[in-house]
Amino acid sequence: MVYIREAHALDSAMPLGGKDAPIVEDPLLLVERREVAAVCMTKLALEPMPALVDDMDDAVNAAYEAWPDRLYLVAKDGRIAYRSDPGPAGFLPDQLEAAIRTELGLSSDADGASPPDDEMH
Amino acid sequence: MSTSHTAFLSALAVMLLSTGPDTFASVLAQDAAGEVTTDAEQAAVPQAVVGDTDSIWTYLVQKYDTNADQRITRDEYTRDDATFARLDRDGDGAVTAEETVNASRRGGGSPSMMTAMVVMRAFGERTGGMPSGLTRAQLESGATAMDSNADLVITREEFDALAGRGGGRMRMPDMDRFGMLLESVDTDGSETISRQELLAWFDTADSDKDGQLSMQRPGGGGRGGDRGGVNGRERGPRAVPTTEPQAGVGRTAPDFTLQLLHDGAPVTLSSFVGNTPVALIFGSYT
Repeated sequence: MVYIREAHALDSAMPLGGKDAPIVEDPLLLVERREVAAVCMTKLALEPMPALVDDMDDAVNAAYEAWPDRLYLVAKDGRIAYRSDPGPAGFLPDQLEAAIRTELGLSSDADGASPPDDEMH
Repeated sequence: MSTSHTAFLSALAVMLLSTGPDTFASVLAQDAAGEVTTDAEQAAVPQAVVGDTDSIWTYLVQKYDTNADQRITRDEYTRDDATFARLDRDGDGAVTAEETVNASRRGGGSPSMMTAMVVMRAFGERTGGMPSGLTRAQLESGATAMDSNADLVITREEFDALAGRGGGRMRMPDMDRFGMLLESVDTDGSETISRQELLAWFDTADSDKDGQLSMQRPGGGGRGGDRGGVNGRERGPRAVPTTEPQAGVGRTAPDFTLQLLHDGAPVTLSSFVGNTPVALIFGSYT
C-alpha cells in the first residue's frame, strides 16, 4: 500500500464523510498524513500489508498518476507489468491478481478466490 | 479504498510477502532507521485530523467552534488560510453547517465534477466507454439504453433500473446519484432528465469542445500548486492528455524512496529489481 493524498477530505472540493464514512481533514503535515494513513490501515484491516506514505510533495503520486487510487505491478526486471485505470472505477484487484499470477508463472485459476468487490470509496 | 477490498488486499499482501526472499521484511531489517521529521513539522503543532463523528459539521464544531455559536470563524480555525477558504464556500468569513455537507448532497453547480463523474459512470459504462472518459456519442447511446420507454426522458426509475443495480463498480454508497444529476442537469425542474437537457449539460461541461469529457487527475506539485480535480479549486472535465504516461506498461517504474508507516524506515523501489516483483496499491482512507 502506498498511502497518497486523500480523495474526499472534508476540506476538499469533494468532501465525503459521516455515518459510516471516515471524516478526514486533508493532512497539511507529514505527521498528519502518517496519522491518517495509520487509521486507514487499522480501520480497513490492511495491516498485514506494508504501507509506505507519500511525501507532502506528492511526487510519487504524480509520477504514477495514482490519485485517487490505482494499482500497479512492477515486474522483477523493474518495468511496469500492469497499470490499472484510475480508481475507483479502474481499481480492479482481480486484474492485479491476474498480473501477479502471470508474472510469477502461477496458474491462472482463481482457485476459489472470490471476485473482488469494488465500490466507490 | 473501501472495507470491501480488505480481504483481497490482505491476501495479496500475504502472497507478495511469500513470493521471494527479498521481501519488505528483509528490507526492513537492512534499513532500520529512525523517525524522520521535517522542518515544517517541528515548526507546527500537529493536531488530530481524523474523526468518526456522524457528520463533517459535528467534527468541525467539536474541534474548532470554541464559542459554540455554530459558526467557525477564521480566528477559531487553526489551520491555514487556503484550507479555511475552501471550507468557507460562501466567503463570508465563517464556516457554517450548510457549507460542510457532503459533495454528494450538493449539486456543486454546473458542470460539477461530481455530476460529471456520475454521468460518466452511469452512461459511459453502459456503452463500453472508458470509465474515466465519455464521448457525446457514448452519452447518447447510454441514454437511449437507459430510456426504457423511449420517450427521450429519463426518470428516476429508469436511471435506478440500470445505473442503480449495476455491478460493483456502480455502487456509490450514501449517494443519491440521480438527485445529483437533477441538480445540475434538470434545468426545467421537472425532476426528470430530458435528452435535450442531458446533451446541453454535456456541451457545457465539454469546455474544450472536443466532444469528450474526462476527469482531471492531480499532476502533483507542491501544496498550493496543481492539486488536481477535486482537491484545491473545483474544476470541470477537460481534454484527455495524449502524452504517454511516465508510468506506462513496459516502462521502467519511476523510482522512489518512501518511509514505511510503522517505523519510518526508508524503502526504495529499485532495491527490489532483480529480486521480486512488487505490487503497488495506491490509495487513501476516503
